[in-house]
Amino acid sequence: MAFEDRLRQSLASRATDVEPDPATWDRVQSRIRRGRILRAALAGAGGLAVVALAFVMVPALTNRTIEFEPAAPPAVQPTEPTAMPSPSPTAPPTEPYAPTRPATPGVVNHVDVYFTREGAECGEDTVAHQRTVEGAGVLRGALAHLLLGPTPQEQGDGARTVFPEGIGDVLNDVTITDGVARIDFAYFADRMQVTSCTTMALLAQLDATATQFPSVSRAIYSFDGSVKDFYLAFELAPPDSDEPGAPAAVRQKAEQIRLAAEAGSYRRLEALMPEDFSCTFSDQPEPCRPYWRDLERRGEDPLGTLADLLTRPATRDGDSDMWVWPAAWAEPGAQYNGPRTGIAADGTWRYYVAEPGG
Amino acid sequence: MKTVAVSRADSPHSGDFASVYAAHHAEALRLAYLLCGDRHRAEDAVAEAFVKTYRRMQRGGVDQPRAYVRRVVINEVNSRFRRLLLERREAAKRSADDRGERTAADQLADHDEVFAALRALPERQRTVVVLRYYEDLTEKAIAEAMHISVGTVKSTLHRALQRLREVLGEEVA
Repeated sequence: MAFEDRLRQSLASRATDVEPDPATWDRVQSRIRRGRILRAALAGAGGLAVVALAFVMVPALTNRTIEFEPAAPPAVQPTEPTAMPSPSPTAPPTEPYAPTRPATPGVVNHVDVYFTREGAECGEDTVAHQRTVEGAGVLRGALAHLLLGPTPQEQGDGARTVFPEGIGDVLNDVTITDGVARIDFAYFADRMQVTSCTTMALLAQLDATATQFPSVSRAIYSFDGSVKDFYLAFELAPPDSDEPGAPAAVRQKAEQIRLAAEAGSYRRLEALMPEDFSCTFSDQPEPCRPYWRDLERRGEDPLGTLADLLTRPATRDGDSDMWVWPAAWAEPGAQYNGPRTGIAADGTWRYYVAEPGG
Repeated sequence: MKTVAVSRADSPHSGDFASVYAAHHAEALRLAYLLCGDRHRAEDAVAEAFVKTYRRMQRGGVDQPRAYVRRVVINEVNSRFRRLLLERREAAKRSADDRGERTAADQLADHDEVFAALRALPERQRTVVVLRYYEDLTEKAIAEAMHISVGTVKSTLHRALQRLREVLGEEVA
């Protein structure tokens, strides 16, 4: 039997090991409702700390039975309610229930704002509540409504928010570029208790509200213009893509390396390495090609991992002249020790460590 | 409280989505299983793939659902983040039920030396082999599904077959 036929036969035989599980349809439906929490962790903030937070949250989610409410009918919502609800069930109303910076008059748009639910205050399941926004600034309008919290009626129905009361005026600026919404707030982290739970809920509410619009694939937040301040206030790593751009020499070398790795060409990669290139940080450096070949035999994919790393933005490693991938490797005091690579500002490829610990 | 189908704003597409799911679920599950070798991981990846397909359909439709679902399944199975999350999740579940355990079929699969050799391949090589010899895709279609060049498909497939032949004691062509 020809080798390719043997392959085909084995694959076809093994494929029959699995039969579709009818329960998967229910899982799909459930995830459509509750999956926002994971997207918030992985796409919204993008930092290692957020991923770590997701690790903590996901097992908790899977051990819980969650029921989902029937689809809400397109109920008529008050255009601009006249009474401000308290953002939390116990807080008294303090200001008018309307965004402090209403969108310019014009077309009335229906938008969703996302609140948590009673019993799921860590943001495991955000629920959409409809609002109306006048004019083109729908994202700004939706965020302004989000900050104001649920109405008393919604609170009575179990809606909750993690945002502190009285912050209806903290939304400074909203811009959308290339699918990325940049949302700037006046500092408010000192007005709420910051825990892993409240942080998760805050990102879940913000990300779900921001990414409901087709023009927004993810959102980056800042306090008074500083992305770093926002994420550090909630003990998160800043998102990769907000790091300053790497020099042209770094970007060009990174692209050459990525293409060589993508093509699986050790020869082309070796041509890009200086003599003192490091592929391990052990005391006795090994030649790279045999080391990577050995990793491949163990089922790893060092060249694919390298190509994947280099599709992400470069991050400057502290004050050094080194630009590194991923961003987590450059975080002060970070525990990350996974695959990483670095290129000096002059375009010299310095190292690529392909396995944890290196 | 009643558990219901996909909720808000899905009415224009819910029927379409159900059709896409019915038409491609089984195929997607088998592809995922061949890529990762674990039925629970496969089910999880396929569920997530259909969630993404649903969201994509809500944003404006999918021209070629079969190709789209296949592409998302490949991404899901091979996602490093996802793999780590699932490992963590399954570790947490292991003490509570049997979802982290390997079934008799999984163990039987290990005795299929071709399949075992396939599972030992690096992820990218394994994906190319499965798409070529199970899905019968052309090199061009594989390149589109994996977002890589046709040249990379050829070189990856060449290295994968070479490795499989070595492991299985076949003569290298």
